[in-house]
Amino acid sequence: MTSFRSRVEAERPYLLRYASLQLRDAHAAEDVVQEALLAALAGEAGFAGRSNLRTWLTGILKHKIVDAIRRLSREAAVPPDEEGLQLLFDERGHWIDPPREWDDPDALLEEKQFMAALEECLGRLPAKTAQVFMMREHLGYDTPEICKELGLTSTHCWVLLYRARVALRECLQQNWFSR
Amino acid sequence: MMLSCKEATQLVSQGLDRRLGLCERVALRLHLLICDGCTHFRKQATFLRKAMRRLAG
Repeated sequence: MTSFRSRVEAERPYLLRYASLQLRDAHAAEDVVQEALLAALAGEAGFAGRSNLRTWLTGILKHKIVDAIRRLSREAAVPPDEEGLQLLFDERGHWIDPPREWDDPDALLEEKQFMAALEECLGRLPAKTAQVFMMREHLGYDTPEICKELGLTSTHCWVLLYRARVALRECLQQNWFSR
Repeated sequence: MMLSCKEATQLVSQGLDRRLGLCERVALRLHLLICDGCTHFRKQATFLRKAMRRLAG
């Protein structure tokens, strides 16, 4: 019978990948995973009776990630930049290359390769943009909560979320839909 | 006032994060009626949300 400790330890690579994707910093990711694993081992009783170890561990990790994002955001403020958008819209604000229809995207949600392409695109976002987008769309926070956590104005939050959506759309268009 | 595509996509995006005002909604709807590019953008932004919720974890 495998011990609880070794089952928890076996999830480390998965958790590291999950944390790296959100924090964009290998050291910070290792730190939060370590914290989460220690908390998990100390709180084994909290797992009793739950079916899925990975889901439980990920839940703990999410809290550690949010704490880490809070800490990191105190250190770095990001100036808004317009460069990327200038490549997409002309000076009158019209699309240079308007988005085309994506063929049956919902079916792609079941495709591992597509989800990997999405992660790859997320990895290319600037760190702060990725964090805000992850908190909003993956962790499901409200925009006012995110602004408060990260010390941003609502307007700045909306700008970052907008840039994330535009950039991810472009990236998937090029790397997946136009293949 | 007619929105540009840049303004329209900003409203589409903000519409996923806050409740748009009446004028904003009307202006956006008018723009989407005549603009396929922005209509696709809107569908794709909504799809991205769905995909992000599915992401591992």
